[in-house]
Amino acid sequence: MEQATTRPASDAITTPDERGNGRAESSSRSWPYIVGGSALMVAATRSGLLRGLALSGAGAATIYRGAKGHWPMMNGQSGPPEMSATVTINRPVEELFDLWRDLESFQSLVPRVNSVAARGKESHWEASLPVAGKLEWDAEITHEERPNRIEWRATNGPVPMRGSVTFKVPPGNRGTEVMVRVVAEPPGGKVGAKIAGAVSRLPERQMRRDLIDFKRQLEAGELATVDGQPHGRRLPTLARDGSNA
Amino acid sequence: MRAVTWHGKNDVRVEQVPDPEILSPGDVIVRITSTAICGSDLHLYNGYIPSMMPGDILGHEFMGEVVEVGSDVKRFSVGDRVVAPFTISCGQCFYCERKLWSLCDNTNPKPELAETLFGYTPAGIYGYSHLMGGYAGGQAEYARVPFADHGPIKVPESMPDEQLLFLTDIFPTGYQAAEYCDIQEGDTVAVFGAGPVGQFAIKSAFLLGAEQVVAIDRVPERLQMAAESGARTLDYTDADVVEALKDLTGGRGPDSCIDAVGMEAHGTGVMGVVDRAKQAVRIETDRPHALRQAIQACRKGGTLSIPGVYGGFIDSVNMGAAFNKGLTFKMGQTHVQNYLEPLLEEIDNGRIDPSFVITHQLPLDQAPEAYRMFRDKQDGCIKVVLKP
Repeated sequence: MEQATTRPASDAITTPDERGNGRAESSSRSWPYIVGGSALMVAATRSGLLRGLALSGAGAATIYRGAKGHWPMMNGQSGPPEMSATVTINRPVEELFDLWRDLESFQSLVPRVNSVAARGKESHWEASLPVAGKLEWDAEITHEERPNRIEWRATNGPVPMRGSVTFKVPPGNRGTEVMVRVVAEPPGGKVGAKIAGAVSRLPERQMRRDLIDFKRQLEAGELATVDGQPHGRRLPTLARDGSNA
Repeated sequence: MRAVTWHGKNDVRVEQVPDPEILSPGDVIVRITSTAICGSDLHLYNGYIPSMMPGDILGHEFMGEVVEVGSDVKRFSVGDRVVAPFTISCGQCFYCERKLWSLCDNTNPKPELAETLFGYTPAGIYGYSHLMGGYAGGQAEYARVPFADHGPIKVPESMPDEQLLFLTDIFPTGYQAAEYCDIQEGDTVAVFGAGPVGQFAIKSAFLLGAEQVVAIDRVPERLQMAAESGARTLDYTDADVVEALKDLTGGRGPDSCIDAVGMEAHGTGVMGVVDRAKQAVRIETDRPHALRQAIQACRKGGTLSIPGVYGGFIDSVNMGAAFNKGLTFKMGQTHVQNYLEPLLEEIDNGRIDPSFVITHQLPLDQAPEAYRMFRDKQDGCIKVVLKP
């Protein structure tokens, strides 16, 4: 069941404290965050699932910080930036946990990641990205409870971060709810700007799409695609009747 | 190969395009022997379905011979004669497991747009806009059929294309519409719209035991065809449909109503004009005239079954009538896979010959003329089959 959801946009929640401190600071100081965040987002959209999840979270958070002058909120609480996505996958919970936990087999479902070398709780990841080139990072599983939860921390990458995946069985034979959360832990510093916070939601959308693709490969055995199919001439007759915005 | 492509409102062309290739291990390639223009293709032709792109290959009713098989395909081999459902289903998700094939989670390659419009994405559909996945359609010499193990069926060589082709869509669609009516002994079913789906809904309602079927349209040839199937007919341009249906049912109203018209109803009177104006300026995406009449006409506690396609927003629908009469609404794209084998059997045992609905057979190259003729209901046109 395609029940992928994202949590409510955190910038819709404004606490009294935030209103008081939300004033933008020097915009020149925010640009490194926005540019850096955008780069992370680009990298995230071109990388594999785990890596994409991690990078996109950090990218969004960094842009958000640049734009808003504070880190995004979760449940009205000030704290490190956090992204989450949930999807229900029509497979047994143990299978999903074991697949996720066996990082090397997990990687086989994520073609955009070149390789994962796992040794116990530690792993080394490599992805080559068309624009950003080859990127590497280390990850360490910090906590696991079969078949319900895995937590990890990524180090030596562009931005340190930690993440978790939770597997939950809803009542009534509906598959397994898989929820991924990623929290970036970038270096601190006070910044601000006036750029729309909406940008920060893009990576969460990407993270959710990665999760849907993961579900699709597990359920259907392949990713539905139309890339490479024939079509006629794509002439710009679109504007003439304007009916196909 | 040659293919029928969309280039804008009232602009379809036959173009030379590359042959389709296997893109996923679950694909097969079909050499098309017969394909048809569906009434719902006219919504594309008339420019009412968003997210079409110039060059998109049209068509979701097609059959033919398997000429290439992906490495994961188990049920088909080269040379098999197949019909393919118009919706594409993975066979493995929550919805497919519950036989709700047209609601498959996994076959729309671009689910975001549909999620934005509908909350969640339905299954992918051949040749029916990028909202529905952007799959190349089957009004062509060849088509790629993805997730082949979960859609097409093999059909016997002994039966002609004309009897089998409509298993892809309009026969199951009409049948599901009638099945949704949960027809009981003595029931009257009113069918709004006697186009191809309406014709199959009429036949199916009788197959499922309806006492009386009333067909509502304005095109004489369609009403004639409905009458030949045993329906009573109503020309809505010279009758008050709701009153006439009341008269035909002892003042009770039809036990169920089938809206086989959908989003482009030719409404009469003030509301018809208002709907056209609103649709023209995009305040309203769909013109729900038949739906309004069906709600009004249906008896208390009756069922409204909607096979006619809606794409978006409708106005001035009398929800109060639907609520206070306790109507049941059943609708949606057809779960074609549920009907392929049973209806093939009905054809085989002679209870129905779906070729009755065909009025024109044309070469694929004449698709632009065929679309125009079908839209304008010229030359008695009810259903066009194209031969590649």
